[in-house]
Amino acid sequence: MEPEAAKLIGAGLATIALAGAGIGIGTIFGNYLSGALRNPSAAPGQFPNLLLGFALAEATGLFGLVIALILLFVV
Amino acid sequence: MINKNDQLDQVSEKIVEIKSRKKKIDNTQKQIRGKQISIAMRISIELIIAIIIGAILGWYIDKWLDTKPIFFIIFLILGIVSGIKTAIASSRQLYEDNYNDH
Amino acid sequence: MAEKSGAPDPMHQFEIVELVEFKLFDLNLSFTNSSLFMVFSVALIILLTLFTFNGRGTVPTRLQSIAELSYEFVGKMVRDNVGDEGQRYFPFIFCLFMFVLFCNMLGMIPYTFTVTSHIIVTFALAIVIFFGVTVIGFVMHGISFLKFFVPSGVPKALLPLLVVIEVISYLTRPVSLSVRLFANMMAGHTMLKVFGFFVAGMFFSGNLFIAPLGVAPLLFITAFTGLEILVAFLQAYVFAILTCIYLNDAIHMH
Repeated sequence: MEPEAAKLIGAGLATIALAGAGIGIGTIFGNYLSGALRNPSAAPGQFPNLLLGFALAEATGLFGLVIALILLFVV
Repeated sequence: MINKNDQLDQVSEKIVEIKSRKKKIDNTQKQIRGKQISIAMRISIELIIAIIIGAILGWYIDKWLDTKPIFFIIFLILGIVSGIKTAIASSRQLYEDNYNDH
Repeated sequence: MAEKSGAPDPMHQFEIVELVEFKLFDLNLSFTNSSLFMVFSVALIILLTLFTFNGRGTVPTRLQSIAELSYEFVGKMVRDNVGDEGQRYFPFIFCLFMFVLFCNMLGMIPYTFTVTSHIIVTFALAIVIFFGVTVIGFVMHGISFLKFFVPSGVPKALLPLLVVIEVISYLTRPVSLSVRLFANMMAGHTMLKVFGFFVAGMFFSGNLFIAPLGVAPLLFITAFTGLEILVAFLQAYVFAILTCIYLNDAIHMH
């Protein structure tokens, strides 16, 4: 297999990591929503926790994207 | 008449003092939310970019000094640690507006 | 949107086209479509702020209230995040916010060029902010601005390591500022273009089953354009407010 083809296949496989990011973000927001529907007055107090969880889940997904970009353009 | 003027002056002084005390807490809920969202976006990108910059610094120092791959690993680990430190410091900023209200 | 050999090319919209050639000793200073849209953005801002006032009337016109609202918005942002000493930097933050906002919004019009979707533009803005804030820190605090990198309450043995870590995290600020704006703008426009190719491909595929289904990507493009307009405003706001936060760090040292 030529290195060009291997690079493209590797970059494509690396974006599977974004599935994990999607699951993580969906879980965080889903739990926040179910908690907010049970106890609406406590919801604004938990908003920073929601944003923090979202940021970290997003960061994990972006790792995979960075590896894909490195495979495409640097290696 | 002079008595009333004095009282008015005192009242206006008190108003100015209370206003200056309240100045920091004057944000509306929407503004706080906007600020928190911008801090959250900053956390995710800064975590990754700290690692990338650590890796790039390590890579170029290795190229310059011809020692592979010790400096790359060292700076990669330093980049990871600095990214996590920045994330923790930024998350502390996320909570400060909350604790001012409650 | 000419295609090369029939393959869809979502990156063609980001190509820089030289409109007026101007080369000066190896430096290419031509007037490109990027510069043209920067001029449009600045012209629109000047029109909005200078020429919408109602003269002596006390009731503002609609455009005048838009200009006044944006002034108040940025003013409140600077006052809350930098404090009272930061009032002198308000013109800079206002220009920055309005420029990024108008450049982002102009890119939402079809057939225009988004200035901020190039990393060099956002990186130039971010590096100027970074150097400016560092210089402000040194001018205001002298050499003891370096104490910013030394966290308090740390055992002396770990100090060199922690200083290097703090310096690395300080260096990530301009890069993250520029990459955030660039990635959001480029990803949004690329996705719009890709779905546009889906719609065109499905409508003209000649297959009677697939052709009507071309409406689905079209509806998605409509909804996504709305999201992109929100992202354009949000990214301009995030850029400006992070500049205010970094300015606050330099002026007040934690």
